[in-house]
Amino acid sequence: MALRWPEPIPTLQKEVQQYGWRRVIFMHLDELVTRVTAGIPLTEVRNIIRGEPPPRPNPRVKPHTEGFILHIKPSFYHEAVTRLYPTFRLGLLSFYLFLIETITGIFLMIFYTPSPLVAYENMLRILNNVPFGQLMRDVHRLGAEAMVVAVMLHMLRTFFTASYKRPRQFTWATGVILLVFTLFLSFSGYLLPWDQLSYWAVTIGTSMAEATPPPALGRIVNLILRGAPDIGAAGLLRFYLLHVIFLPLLLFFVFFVHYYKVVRHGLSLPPEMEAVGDDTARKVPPEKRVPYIPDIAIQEALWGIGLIAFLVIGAAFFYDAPLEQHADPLNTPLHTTAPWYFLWLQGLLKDPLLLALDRLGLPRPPSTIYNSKTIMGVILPGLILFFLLIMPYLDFNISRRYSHRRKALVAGLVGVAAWTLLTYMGTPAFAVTSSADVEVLQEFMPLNPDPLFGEGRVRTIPYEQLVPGTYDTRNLQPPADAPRLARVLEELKHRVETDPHLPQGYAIVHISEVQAGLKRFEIILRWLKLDEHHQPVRDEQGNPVFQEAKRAIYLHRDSTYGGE
Amino acid sequence: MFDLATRRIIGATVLMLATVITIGMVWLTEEQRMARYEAIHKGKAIENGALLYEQYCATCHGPNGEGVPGKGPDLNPGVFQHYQELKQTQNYANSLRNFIKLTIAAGRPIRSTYRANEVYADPMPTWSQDFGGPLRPDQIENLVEFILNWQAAGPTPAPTPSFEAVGTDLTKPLPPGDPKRGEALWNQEVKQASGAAASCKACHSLKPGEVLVGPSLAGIATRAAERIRAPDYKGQAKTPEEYIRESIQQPNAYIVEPDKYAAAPGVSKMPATLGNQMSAQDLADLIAFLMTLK
Ligand code: HEM
Repeated sequence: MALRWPEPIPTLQKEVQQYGWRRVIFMHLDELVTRVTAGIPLTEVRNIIRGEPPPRPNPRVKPHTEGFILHIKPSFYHEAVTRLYPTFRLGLLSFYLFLIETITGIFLMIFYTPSPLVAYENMLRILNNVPFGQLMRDVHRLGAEAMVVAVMLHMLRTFFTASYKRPRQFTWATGVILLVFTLFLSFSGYLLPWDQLSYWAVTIGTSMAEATPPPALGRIVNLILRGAPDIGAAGLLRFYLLHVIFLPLLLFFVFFVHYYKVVRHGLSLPPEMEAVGDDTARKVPPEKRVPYIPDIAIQEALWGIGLIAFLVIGAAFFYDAPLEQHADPLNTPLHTTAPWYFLWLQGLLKDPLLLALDRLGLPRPPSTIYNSKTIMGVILPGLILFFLLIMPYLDFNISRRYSHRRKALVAGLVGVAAWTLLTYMGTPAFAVTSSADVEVLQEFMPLNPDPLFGEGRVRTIPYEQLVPGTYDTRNLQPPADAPRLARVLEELKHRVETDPHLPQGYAIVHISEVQAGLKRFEIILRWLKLDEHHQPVRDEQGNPVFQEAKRAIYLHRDSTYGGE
Repeated sequence: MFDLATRRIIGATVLMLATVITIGMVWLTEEQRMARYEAIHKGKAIENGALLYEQYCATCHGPNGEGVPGKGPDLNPGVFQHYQELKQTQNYANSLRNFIKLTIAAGRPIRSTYRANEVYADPMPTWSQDFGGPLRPDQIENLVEFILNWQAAGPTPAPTPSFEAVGTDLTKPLPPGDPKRGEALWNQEVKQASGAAASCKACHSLKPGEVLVGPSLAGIATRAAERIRAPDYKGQAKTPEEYIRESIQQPNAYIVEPDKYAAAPGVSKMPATLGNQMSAQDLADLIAFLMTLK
């Protein structure tokens, strides 16, 4: 039997005959818009743009029931949570940042291979051979830092507004997991450029793994994490996979659990707006409702635009992601630090407990019982994390009012202060113990950029001012047309002459031109050798003996170091 | 003036425009930026290469690529000449860069015909980790950049002699002096370690009583012995030699006839930087020569 269309066949021609072409175009456009928006017809879009109130029944809630993307979003918010306070939009910003990181990250992935043989070279290619490569890298890096900041602040805000309390304990717990994932996501990416900075920061950051008790387990944990006793090809591949697949997937998944709970319970109202013990977030009186479409949607779009502007303008004009020398497992930079958000751990590893005992003149516990690395580096952070996870379930104070939560608020502030202090203790500014001569050389010409001294003073001298010759700090006669050189020599003189650990210290500086456009800069430090009674050591002729330390670097005309 | 919604929309439009303009600016300057980055990085590669060269290569090829007899041939201009020779006589088909890179990475297991009449104790070892050496591929690249730079950057400057100047240090032990060489230094027939001629005779005559800028040095050996016994002498010298040494390295320690020879109170007309040009040997030789002027 022949297949037949039912009569009459609706053809475009017939439609036009029936309604006229203007109306037909409108009908088809209307249908298209309604489908794309999952339920809002064209006339309604016009109403929205004109700022008119919705008709009843309200077609603007359709996308929340019909559409996939918006089905997780509430169709209205309580008017009290649509201002900056109490959310500060930090959760939203965290999520946006995650999206931006995904996009810029995929761009970078195109040009990157996770192998120690080529990873660093790939980074150089991204910077000198890929259009927009540097911008993308800078946005990715700036976004990563911003995401860590945003997530931490978001956690603080939910703590201070007591949004973690019943019934939102589980939301908080998933949040803690998100925090951990965010930190590890950022940290795993840190290794990928495979330069000295990343290699040693991650070496420091993973050095606790080995201290996981008992020792047999520690060895295994370390092997699983680094892929070998030390970070190498296997470790790089592992960190890469963690960074581009494993952690993002997990974070994405946990985020939806988190956000589902947020919507289920409703955004908590500012504490002072509810009676103690009440949770009225879901009982929004009609006159307090602010519809998601269009009000909140526009707000969120504006925040997105602001965030992108911040990242793009920031990356283009104010921020450069660092790239140091190629990773060198045989050469540890003097002041190695973990990334800033793990400095508190590095601070813990300097062990405040032992430092306090020393201060008080009390004996240290024997190392057989007390191992800093295990206790401060693994057990204590583990306990802190566990405490954060279950904290809402231990809080029996039902009131969310600030005035009823004095102890909790003080505890929160003390926590922030302790974190800040430990972070400071983690920097090399606190309790570094290298010898004075090494510190001087580091300050003036570190072999790798130093967290305290940057590229060092010597590299701030413009190339033309590096006048070849020999300079002696005991009798400085720098050339007249090299003011910056003169200043650095003056600073060097001051530095060696005033350091109490360099008695009668002086420095000899040799500058020589070794190739066209290449100069060698050498500093030789000499200082009096003292015996254990702080008396000068003398040779057979009775002349005082001097100790010596020296270092040379090369400076090329083109390798501008930022300088002054 | 405007309501909140309008203000927000204006703000967002401005931000969006700013973002687009920023991206446009990046776009327009991208070529230059990439070229600049490349140049900066090449400069750093040469710096790294120079450090590696100093650490690993200089013992056999000399600090300035001039070669070390019995250990290794000169590289500057050796490599460049050798490469040309191979190209012309053997149709060697690789690039100069690869010629250098391969030699460093894999070493020279057998003696090449270049500088064939010279004898070297050991063959050139392999340097790349690929062939069991100590260096990573990126380090080999850096070395290649450094070596190429001997010619790429134009003629090599006359090496700034790297020597230990005596400066103003009076405690540094001096080697035995050679009056003959000291005299040659005085007459500017040989150069000081810095490469510059000694400037003494520009200001000091050896004719008795002739004052140029400073006093004549005729009979200085005898006079030095008297000076250190003079009541107003406040320097540290105990012997005539030490007195001459102090006068050269620290002219301000004691100024004879200040109204004649001081440029300012306490500052001698004689420059205090002469020691920066001299090695310990130069100084010892000059002193030895001056000590012959009884
Ligand atoms: C990747 C990390 C995270 C993302 C993307 C995220 C996202 C969000 C979003 C979009 C909200 C809605 C309200 C707002 O914007 O403040 C929210 C609420 C919430 N978040 Fe997070 N969050 C993250 C991490 C955390 C962390 C680390 C915690 C705490 C440990 C946390 C605890 C909470 C709580 C308790 C709420 C409910 C707030 C309320 O109802 O007022 N979240 N989160």
